[in-house]
Amino acid sequence: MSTYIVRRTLQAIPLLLILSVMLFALVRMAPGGPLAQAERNPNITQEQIERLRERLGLNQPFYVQYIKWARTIVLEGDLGDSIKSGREVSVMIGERIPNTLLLVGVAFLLTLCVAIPLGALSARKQYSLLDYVVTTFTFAGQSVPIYWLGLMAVLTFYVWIDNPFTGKPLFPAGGMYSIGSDKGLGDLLWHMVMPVGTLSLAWIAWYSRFFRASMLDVLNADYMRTARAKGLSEGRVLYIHALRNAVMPLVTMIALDFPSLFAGALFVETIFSWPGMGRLFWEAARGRDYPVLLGVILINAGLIVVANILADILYGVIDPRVQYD
Amino acid sequence: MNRSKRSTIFVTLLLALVLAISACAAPPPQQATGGESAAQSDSGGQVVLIIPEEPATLNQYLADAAIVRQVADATTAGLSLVDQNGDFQPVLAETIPSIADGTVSEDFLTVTWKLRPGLLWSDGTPITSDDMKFTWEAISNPDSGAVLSNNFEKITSIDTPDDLTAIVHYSEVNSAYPMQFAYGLLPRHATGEPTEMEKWEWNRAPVTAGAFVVSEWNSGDSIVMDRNPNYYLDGQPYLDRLIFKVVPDPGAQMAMMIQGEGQVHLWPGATKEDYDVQIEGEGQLQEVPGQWNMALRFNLSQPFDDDPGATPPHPILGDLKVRQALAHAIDYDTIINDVNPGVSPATSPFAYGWYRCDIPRTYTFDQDKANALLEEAGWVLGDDGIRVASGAANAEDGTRLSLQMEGYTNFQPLVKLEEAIVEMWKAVGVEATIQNDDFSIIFGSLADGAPRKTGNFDILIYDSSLSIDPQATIAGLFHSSAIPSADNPAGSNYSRWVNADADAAIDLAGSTVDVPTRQAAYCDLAQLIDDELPQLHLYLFTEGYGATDKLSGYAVSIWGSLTWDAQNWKLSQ
Repeated sequence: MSTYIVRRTLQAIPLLLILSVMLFALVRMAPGGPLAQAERNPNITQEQIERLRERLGLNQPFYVQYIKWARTIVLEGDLGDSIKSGREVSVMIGERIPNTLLLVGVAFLLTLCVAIPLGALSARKQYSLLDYVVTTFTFAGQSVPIYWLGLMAVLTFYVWIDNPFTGKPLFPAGGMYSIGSDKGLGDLLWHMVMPVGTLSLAWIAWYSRFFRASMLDVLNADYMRTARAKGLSEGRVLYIHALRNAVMPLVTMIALDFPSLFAGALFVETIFSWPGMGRLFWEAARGRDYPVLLGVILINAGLIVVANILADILYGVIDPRVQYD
Repeated sequence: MNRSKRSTIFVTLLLALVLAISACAAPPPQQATGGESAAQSDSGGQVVLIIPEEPATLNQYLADAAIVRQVADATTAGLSLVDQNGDFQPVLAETIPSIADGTVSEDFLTVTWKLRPGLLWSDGTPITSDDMKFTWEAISNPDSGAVLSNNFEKITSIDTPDDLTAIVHYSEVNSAYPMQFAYGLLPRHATGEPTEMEKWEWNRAPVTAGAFVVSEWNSGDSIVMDRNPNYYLDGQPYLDRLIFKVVPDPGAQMAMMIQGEGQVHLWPGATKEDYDVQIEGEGQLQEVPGQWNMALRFNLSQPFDDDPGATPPHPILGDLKVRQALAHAIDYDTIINDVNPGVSPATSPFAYGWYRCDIPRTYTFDQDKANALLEEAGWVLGDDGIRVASGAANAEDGTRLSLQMEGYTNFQPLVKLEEAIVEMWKAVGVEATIQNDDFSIIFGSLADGAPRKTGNFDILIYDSSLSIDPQATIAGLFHSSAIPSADNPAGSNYSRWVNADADAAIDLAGSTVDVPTRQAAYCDLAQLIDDELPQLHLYLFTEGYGATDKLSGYAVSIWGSLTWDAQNWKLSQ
């Protein structure tokens, strides 16, 4: 197993390298440049802008810029400095990544805890009232855009519904902590309810629907009948035989979905003013802050590679037929 | 039966869990609206300012984004500022230097500044003329990365005969000398090497002379500023604390204003009518006619000929008669009253400030005149109602009178304006199409291939603004030496307008600090622009911010940012 992990990690290096060239090209091919905002500032002269362009090396050929950028990453392990703030990109990402991981992580755990039982129940009781309710919910949940859901949550739980004891809004409009608070765990949890809830609702809809289908496939399989014929209890048949087999496609799905989990987080981070990576990315993209933009994408790409490796390892854990040498 | 019961229990438990989470979380003890906190203490309380994006730095000399000044002004004090009436006021300086009192030399090349006595930085260190000298040294250093040059490169030396006096020597006339140190002083003792300016810790936690001092910066979330105990005005600022809360989503911003959690709302992006209804009872949108002047910029030169220069003429727009006709075809009243209500008319680039010049429009709305001019210019109506060339000056016969308007995306008022103009021009047989580009494209550089730099466009339509000293911008926009090219990528005469009289007026305005002379020169230029139409000015947008009714003491200023007068703000119960 450990050989396998080492091999996969080593394989990831050239992959990331090729990816970095493609990302660099893609980001730089996007029209526009980081100095457009300066162009709109009447206090900044065109001469200053041209000087800045030279200083940032934006007038150099593409490959020179790439080599410079890649060299500092490989040799110094440094993602460079932001064009806009002069701060180290690694520091900027370091400030944001725990926030996004917290948001996405908790939302995802909640999703699995709800989606798997919900999907399983729904499949087990196919065409029952519960199944119809769940199917309707998942259908609606999948159709509703996540940002709309977020806005409705703000409207409902921040503007309309007050906490009956304090008379203040039931949940905060956004942010991670209350303004001027001592940043306690309770305050954090209180701030997490709406963003986590919004993210999970959308994901639960998707995953429970997927798991229901996956479970239905398994329930109709021959080995289920065999298991029952052997006289196993219904609970054992369902929760040991069926569930474990139905989880397999889910793992693949999650690994493939990993990038979109972060994409979903972008909307939620924006609506709930959550200081995460998604927003850092969005702001960098709008301002064409190339070092930050590339840093965020590269870290995300790295996370996706890691997630894929983890998924492969998980197959081995879940499915005894999968062997790694 | 048993199982369905169990599933009901499961769903009920799930619901209970969700409810429990929401019920358990107690609201934080310190959350209070500005009004309540003001009531609880004797001092001025705190104001939450909702801002849509986070400033990258608080060092105004490094910043290109508009958001920086909006926040940084709360923690900045310069030698002078421009008040809401467009007048210079001394801040850290005792007076604004002038020729009258001998602090500006007869040749305008020497300016003597006197600091107020007893000034202190926020860390308690005295503010001296050496800090002025350091500010110049740091910003004029080509490796500092400073973009807001503010004519610092024209300074040859600064003498500091004593701690309160700085004598600034210029190599050429700086007509904007009163604004020389308006964006704040940099303390020598608390910053760093000029070449390291982009990495100064000072940029995010400045030791300052301004009204407020940064006490906490939560990346992506909020910036907290507390009152500067060493501020030069006794008893000010009145407020204890400003909290800049980053809220990117407009819906969430609005919700916070409605709930009274925010007291000030930057760039709400709504009309006053809509805004005031939404936060009725809490506050209002406070607006004044702003700096952003909407204009059409006609390309007088041939596009797509691989030459950004002024020749050969544009096949359609190169003919003055066509430009006059296009101007006559626009119904200015409809635009101001119906298309973009709330804006105020502007007929020249000099629509505000001491250089204001309200000339009457030369080519007023008159479709008959527009049609006659187009006929005269050799553009006759085709079968489909769009004119084609037949003896036109610069176009081959049969060329369609079709023009493309280019603006920027994500700005609804601009789209409405473009659509209205398309209809108005169609009425006189001119076909216009709309092409809006991302901000970073339309305002990109020559190297980025930005259309206005390469000259590959027909008409640009967007708003632009002038600062309190317009010389650099005006010279860039209208002087014939400022046509963009590979040798002069910084040029911004996007219309490719060449006019010797205009050049002379611009040169005259830049050669003196005498206001009446400069004003007259700019007015001559305004008339030339309106006659020859390299640009056609339409209107000024309003500017301002949403503010709670509990806030007082503030003045919305066309020249100032959101926080330019934060030291005067007061919060009532």
